[in-house]
Amino acid sequence: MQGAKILIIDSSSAIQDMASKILGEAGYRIFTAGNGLAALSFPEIKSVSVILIDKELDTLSGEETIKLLRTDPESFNVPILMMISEEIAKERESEDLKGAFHYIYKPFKPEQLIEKVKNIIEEEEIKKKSEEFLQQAADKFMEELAESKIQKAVAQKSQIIVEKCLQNVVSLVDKRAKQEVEEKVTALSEEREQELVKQVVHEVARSMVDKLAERKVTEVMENVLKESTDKTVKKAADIIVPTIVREKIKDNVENILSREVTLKVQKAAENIVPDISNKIITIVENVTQKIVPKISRDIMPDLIKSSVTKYIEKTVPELIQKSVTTETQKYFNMNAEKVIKEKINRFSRLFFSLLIVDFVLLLGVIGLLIYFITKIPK
Amino acid sequence: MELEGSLKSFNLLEILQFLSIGKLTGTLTLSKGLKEIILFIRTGKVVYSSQMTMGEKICRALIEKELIQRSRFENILLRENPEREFSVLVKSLIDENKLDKMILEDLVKLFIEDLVWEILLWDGGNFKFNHGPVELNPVLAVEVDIESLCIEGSRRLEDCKKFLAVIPTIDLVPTLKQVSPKIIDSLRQMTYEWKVLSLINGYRNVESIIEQSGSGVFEIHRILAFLITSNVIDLTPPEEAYRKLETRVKGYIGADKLNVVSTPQSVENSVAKSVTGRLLQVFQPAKEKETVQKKVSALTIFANLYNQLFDKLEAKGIFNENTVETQGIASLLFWQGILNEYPRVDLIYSINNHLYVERFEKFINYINNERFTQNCLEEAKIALIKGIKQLYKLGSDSVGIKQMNKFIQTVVQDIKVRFENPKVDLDSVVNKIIQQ
Repeated sequence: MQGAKILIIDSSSAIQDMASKILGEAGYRIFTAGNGLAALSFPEIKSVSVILIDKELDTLSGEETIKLLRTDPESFNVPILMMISEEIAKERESEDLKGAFHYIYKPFKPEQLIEKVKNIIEEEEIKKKSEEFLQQAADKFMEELAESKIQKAVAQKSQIIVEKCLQNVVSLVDKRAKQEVEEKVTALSEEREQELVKQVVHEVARSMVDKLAERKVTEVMENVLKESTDKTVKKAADIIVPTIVREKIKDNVENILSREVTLKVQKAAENIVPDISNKIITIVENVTQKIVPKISRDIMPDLIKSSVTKYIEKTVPELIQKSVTTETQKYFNMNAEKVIKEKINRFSRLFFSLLIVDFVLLLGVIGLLIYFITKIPK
Repeated sequence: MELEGSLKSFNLLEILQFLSIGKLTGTLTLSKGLKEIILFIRTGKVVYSSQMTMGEKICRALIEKELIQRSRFENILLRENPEREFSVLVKSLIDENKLDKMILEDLVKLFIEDLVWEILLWDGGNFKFNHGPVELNPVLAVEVDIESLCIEGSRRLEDCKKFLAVIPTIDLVPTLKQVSPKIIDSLRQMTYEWKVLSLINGYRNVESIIEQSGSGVFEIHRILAFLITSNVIDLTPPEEAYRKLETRVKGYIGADKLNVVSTPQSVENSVAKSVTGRLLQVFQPAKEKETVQKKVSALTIFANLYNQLFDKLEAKGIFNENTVETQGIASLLFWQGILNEYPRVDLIYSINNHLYVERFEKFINYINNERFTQNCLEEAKIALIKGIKQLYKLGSDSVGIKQMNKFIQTVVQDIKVRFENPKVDLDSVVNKIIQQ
């Protein structure tokens, strides 16, 4: 290889000179040095084709230098040709070359040295080429192997991915379906709830209104009755009955009236409340059975229960209160007068009948009094 | 006018400033031990240096710039007067417009500046200024302004002091320490430092590293100081490093071959001194003749001449100044000094105070290719002859030229008797040495 760099290490300038002349004329670029350290620290060591090194160097021997060259990342693969003095080589012919692999005896013939160096360089070239081929083959094999492995891995991965995707899709669909069902259920339940609540409220309101109206009517009636009774009694008492009789009558009237009214109101409440709650339960059950689909059946009871409970607990009282107030207002506005009139009529009739009774009783009492008065002095 | 003194009293910058103010012309000779540098000053400016290797240095730099071929450079290096040849080569490059004069001037300036930094690093030495006209190499003469040199010099002076504290003398041998992988990593990032690190081989001294690196003295000091303070290298006294080297190379050669290049005289003496030897001389004269080696290489002959001269000088007590540390390795120290200049022949070993060329020749013969070996062989010859020259000079200074000439003639005669080699004209080589 023309222009290849050769580094000659020998303590003898004569040998350096001879070797460099021989190899220089063969077309190599020659560098010379007289010690092992110079070989180790040669700035262009990486690009050297062959190192010719004397075995018997001063301080750092050829063997030691080779050992260090072999452990240096810059020079570990540079071919080394060890020069061994014939006189010494004869004594130690079988000696290990310590990493040099190639050797030549000193003195050497020019053609011997050129041949050796040429062979080493060629060998190195072949080695490099074979390494390259090997590398290429290895690369190719690795590529193929990698490709097949990658394909396998891709297939596996894609299967996993598809599976995962499917799982995701399924879970998403599930989630979406659940969500939708929930939404629908919520919407439906809300609607129904509202309807139910409305109905319930309506019913409750109605009943409450009735109750309230009745109560109000009762109150009004009581007031009216009380007033009219008071007035009538007062009038009657003022006119007819002495003060004790008047008081007694007053007491009786109050007792009888209040007892009657409370009884009536209690009865009304007892009738209305169970009816309303039963109605709500039956309505809710109907709604649950009819509206909720099969999938959401698991969720619905709790949901509805909680929603209805919440609704009933929070909204219903408010709604009821509102509705009751409004309905009461309306009802009252619409029916109060009528009811009051009816009640007043009833009460006035009752009052008159009572008055007659009272009057009869009074007459009886008066009669008894007259009887006693006439009889006692006697 | 002459100006003379010690570099310990005045540093080079002060001397140059004085010459610059006076706009003097002449030669400034700076010396320390065997080293001598002459700076040529013209009207207060440095224009050239006597450094023998200036042309060589410039050509080495031009090789790096790919303006000169290495083979051409090496051929010139082996000729008789390479400096003159290098000047001619540089001039031809300028004439052919291959080399820009500005580039050349920058290079020369750089080398002169570096020379000044080198002298600044000297621990002691002497200076002498001779007033008078100067003759210059017309190609390489470049004016260097002393003012800017002094400004930069005073800045570097502090650094020089730090370097000197870490590297007291350039004779010391840098040796490796055990380093951690972290340090290795950080060194890998330093290309320039690596170049210096690569020149360390366990026996090359600081001076040789400076010489071989092609970089400036100051720069090499900086890098070596950095490597020392980073605990990558250590400085070892040369005798310690060379002893280690000697032990190592003995392993390559084997004890039985150590006397191959020993002097024939010593063999004769050892044989003649014993009774058995004398008897052998009587009864086996033919065998003695057989010891004559025919057709040995030129290197063996030069090595033999070197060894015999060394033995004679050692016998005369020239190397007796040796301390305990240097005992027995006088030749090794001497030869390593030469190898610092010619490192490519470091396979010629000095063992037991004698040069041993066999291993070098073995390598050359193995390669058996003129293209690769001719320069090596020539360089080895030059190195050996330089060694002989230095021994001759040392001997002449010590025992006198006459005695030394007698020595060398005896040795040459002996070699002629012992060896036959028509390729080496030993007489002319020796005559040249004597004449020089």
